[in-house]
Amino acid sequence: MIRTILQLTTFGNEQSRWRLAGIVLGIAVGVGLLLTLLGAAQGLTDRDQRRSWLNVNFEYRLDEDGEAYTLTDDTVMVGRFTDYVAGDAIERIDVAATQTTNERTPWGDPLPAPGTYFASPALIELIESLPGEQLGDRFGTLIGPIPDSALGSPDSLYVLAGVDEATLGQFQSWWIQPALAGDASGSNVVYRIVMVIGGIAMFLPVLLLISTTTQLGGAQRAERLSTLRLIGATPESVTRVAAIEMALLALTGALLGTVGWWLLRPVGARFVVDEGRFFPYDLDVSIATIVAIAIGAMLTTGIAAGVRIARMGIGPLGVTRERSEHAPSPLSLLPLLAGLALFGGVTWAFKTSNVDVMLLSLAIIGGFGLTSLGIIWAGPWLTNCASRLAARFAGSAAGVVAASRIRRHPEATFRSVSGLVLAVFTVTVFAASASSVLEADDPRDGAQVFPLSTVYAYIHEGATEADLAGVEREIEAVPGVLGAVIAMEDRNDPGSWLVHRDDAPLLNVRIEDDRAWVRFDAYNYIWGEPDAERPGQPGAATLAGDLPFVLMVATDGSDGVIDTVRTRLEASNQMASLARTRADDIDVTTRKFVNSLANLAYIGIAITILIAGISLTVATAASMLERKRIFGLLRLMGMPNGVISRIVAFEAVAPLVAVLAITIGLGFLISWMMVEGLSYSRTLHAPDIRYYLAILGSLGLAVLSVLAVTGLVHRNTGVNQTRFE
Amino acid sequence: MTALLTRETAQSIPADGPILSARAVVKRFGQTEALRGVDLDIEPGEVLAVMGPSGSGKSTLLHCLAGVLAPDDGSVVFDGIEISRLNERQRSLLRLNRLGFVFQFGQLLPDLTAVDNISVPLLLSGVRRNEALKRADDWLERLGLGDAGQKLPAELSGGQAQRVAVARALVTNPTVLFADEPTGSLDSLAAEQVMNALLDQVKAAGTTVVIITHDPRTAAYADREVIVRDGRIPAGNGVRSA
Amino acid sequence: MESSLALLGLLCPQPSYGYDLKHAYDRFFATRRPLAFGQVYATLSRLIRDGFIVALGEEAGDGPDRKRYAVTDQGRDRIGQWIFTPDPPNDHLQSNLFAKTIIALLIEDDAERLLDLQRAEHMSRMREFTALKREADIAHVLIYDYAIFHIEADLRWIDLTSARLLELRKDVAQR
Repeated sequence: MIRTILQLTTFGNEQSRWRLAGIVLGIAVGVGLLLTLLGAAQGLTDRDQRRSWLNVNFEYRLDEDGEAYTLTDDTVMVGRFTDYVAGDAIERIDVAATQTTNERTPWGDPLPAPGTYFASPALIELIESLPGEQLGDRFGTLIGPIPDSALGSPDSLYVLAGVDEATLGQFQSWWIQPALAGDASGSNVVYRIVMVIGGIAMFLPVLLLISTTTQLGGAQRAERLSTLRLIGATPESVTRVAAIEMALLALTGALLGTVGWWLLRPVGARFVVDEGRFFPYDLDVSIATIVAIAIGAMLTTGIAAGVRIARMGIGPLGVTRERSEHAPSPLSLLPLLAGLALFGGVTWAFKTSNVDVMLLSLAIIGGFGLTSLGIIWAGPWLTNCASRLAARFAGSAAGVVAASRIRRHPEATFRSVSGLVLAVFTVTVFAASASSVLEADDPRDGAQVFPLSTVYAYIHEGATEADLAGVEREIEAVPGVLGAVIAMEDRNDPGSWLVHRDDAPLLNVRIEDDRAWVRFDAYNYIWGEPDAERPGQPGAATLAGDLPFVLMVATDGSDGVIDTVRTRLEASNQMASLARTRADDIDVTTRKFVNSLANLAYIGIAITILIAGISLTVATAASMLERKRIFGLLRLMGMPNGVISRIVAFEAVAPLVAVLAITIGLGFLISWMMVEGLSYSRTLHAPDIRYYLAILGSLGLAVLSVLAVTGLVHRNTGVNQTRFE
Repeated sequence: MTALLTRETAQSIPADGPILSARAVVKRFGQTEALRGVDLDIEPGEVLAVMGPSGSGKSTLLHCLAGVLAPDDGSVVFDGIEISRLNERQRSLLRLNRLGFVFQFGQLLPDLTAVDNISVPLLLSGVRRNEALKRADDWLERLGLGDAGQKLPAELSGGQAQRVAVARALVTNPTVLFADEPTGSLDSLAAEQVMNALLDQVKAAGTTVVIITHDPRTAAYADREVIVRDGRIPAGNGVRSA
Repeated sequence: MESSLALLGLLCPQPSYGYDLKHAYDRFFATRRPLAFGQVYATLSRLIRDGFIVALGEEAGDGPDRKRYAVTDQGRDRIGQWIFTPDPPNDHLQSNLFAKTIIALLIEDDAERLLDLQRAEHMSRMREFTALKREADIAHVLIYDYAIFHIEADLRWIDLTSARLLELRKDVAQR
């Protein structure tokens, strides 16, 4: 019985085949997306675990009794640094141990002896591609590669260098801990939040697409089902048929989605996320998960379909439900308001008290999800308001027809654009939030800051004048180096440095008076805004026992020279820190991180917008074809062709316009709350060009879809189509 | 010529001679000849019934007469205009401004109220919304539908819906009204009401009417009838011999 | 139905014996009650008297059943006139119209035309009643309704017969 019904209703005609294709494809895309997101989440967790040894933690410095560890055979002395080469950051750990140490590397090798090092394959490649004096000489002799099991990504630049206790002891920061290990920190909480939000944002349009295609040819289908009821099918069997049909389609879609995901996995691993690409196996998802997803898809879609058919009340004589929808009520704004309130509450709570990061991220995700759903929920009401307004002022036939349609079917008309609306909302939230990081100025030269080409390193306390003179000579011998300058720290004012007035121009330091030693606020010269107005400080005639504090090297700014200087400084063993430039100190890493996130997000948004555009086209086409007989007759009566285009455009664009402005506003509001509320120093800027491209893309797709549907309706309402209905 | 397509000249019917005249009209659909040389004259103000079994070509004839289809051969002249020489746009304009149409069913926009449905052709030809609604209301009164103006088509009875369709067809004051099986889906009483209403209005306005029907009782409202059989009108039936 | 005209019509395709004529008549028209021989010969002699038919030479023995009869030109004209004159819609229409149709098919005349003529006659009566009904009070409307529905029944029969002409023509030709 059920098989017969399926044959009759599911595979009957062309339109029903389109419907099948739409549902299967929608579910396939949804499942593929879900697997990708799950795989990526799993991959990020694995990556965190593998690179946890880098997170050496200063809490280890105190043992259980609250005493500092000392270096024994069962402890290691570590320094955790970020080194730079050609603008790339290297995660660097220097380790010192006793000769008879029992400690090993996290991957089981003996610890590197002083002057030897392990490096990640990507770093080894980089070292080999550069002259030793630019990079390799900083670490000593290579022992071997760090295995993949200790790398975040194949692109990771890690080094574990062996040093002796005395040398590491010269550094400003080091500590002794019981093992070379750390905690898997939630270092990518932001990524996770963004991924979950992105997942929600990409998933809702897919669900909308599925729900749209499900309703394709709904009227015809209801008719067929009611015919079956007439010849004796029970309501239960009709419901069961709908459920089984959908479950089968979901299974097909899930299979298709899994296969597609499997095939596209290598492509997914190519995307740079956080510190680099994924290992291909990072994106793997367990068979159990895949099966669970397939079963979940079958169950949810099957039950939903059954419930919908049951609620439609298909009797032997047709559908009992009334054709017009209920007028939406302003109460439908509540979820949206709740979402905004949640966001506001979180922001306020974060501002005023300490909130657990996990709780905070959950609240943000919840707030975003609620707001997104709230927009979909409130959309019909807003659309209805707009259509009432439009109906009052509509003077043209197309306007009256479209406004009336929207008024009778606010849910259906809004549903067709809701995907685009959501996409626009997400892209606005994202682009506005990212702007706070991306739009920060590039590090640049200017008055009252060190030149970007200047390399500096702190001098360790025990360095003698002779040692320093030797280092200075060696550095100045490097071609491209303009000069080396030693700055003293003002004993009475630790924030101020002193340089000789002859050296001041090399460092861009302003001379206030004619005294021999120029005093300046180092903090401003490293982190301050270029060209800012700052009060000058009086210089000093002589040094009052001030000590050499930092060695600064002016260079011509080329990567090779800067890196060579870094290498010389680090290899000199006279420094208390690695060599840096002002650019290193500005938060370049964060910006790279956000940029890679942005690339990923915009790819996701592009996919979402595309899906939403397809959804809009399908929904608009369905709503027009439902009325193809009457449009055909109207054309026969002499309605000009342009009117149909205008009706299509009006019905698609009016709800878009009604909700889009509000949506964009909400997007900015939410990202303002996130940025102003949750981070300390950032402010909202104008979003970057990709945002406008995304918005333009959305509108362009809407236009394309209107054109496509117009063409379709024209072909389907021609005289010959109408004549033989 | 464009002037003739608009409503302003609708009343300038020539004093004598047919308002609509077909000569040797042939229309083929692929291999089948739907019309095989039809001659027909329709006098101004005349109510003509076109009868014939299904598949005889009556609907094709209506579509050719109304400029919906272009005949493959022969000519159709409406009010001095050779319709087959007009392009698609001009024919649309002609249909919109000078011809009216009533179909068997399903011709009302489901989301529009009765009065909005009637106002659509006026809006299409550029009448302002308020004026269009006023005229539509007036037509509702004339067809005895005064209290149905704000109802949706789904809330109207078949007869009421058909009278709304008649009102919509007549609201632009067309020169010729084409009705294709206007009572086809109605019971006897509703059919009678629709035909009475239609006839009252067209007789008062002097509108020419072409009714396609296979129902003799509907055809009996016409001044005369012609029969289409196998794509032809039997000799002497369509054209009065001089 | 006027049986004399039907007999005259049956003679039109070719001359025939009285005996065969009676059987042909019975086949087509007398579904319930066969025609009596006496009635046949009485009718034939009346037709001879009116000059519509002639009796051809007597053969092999005597008696009316051995005579062959043929239609005169005058007889043919009478049949043509009869066939293409529509009857006013009335109770006896059916049998008469049926006879006319059969005869028209037998003599290969335009049976469709006679149906069209009859339809036109009916339509014109119906139009008349419809017009009257539009002016009438409710009581009279009912009377006109009745009349109109009766005419409609005839018209539907005419339409159906018209649609079945091809089949009917084949059947008549076979007999």
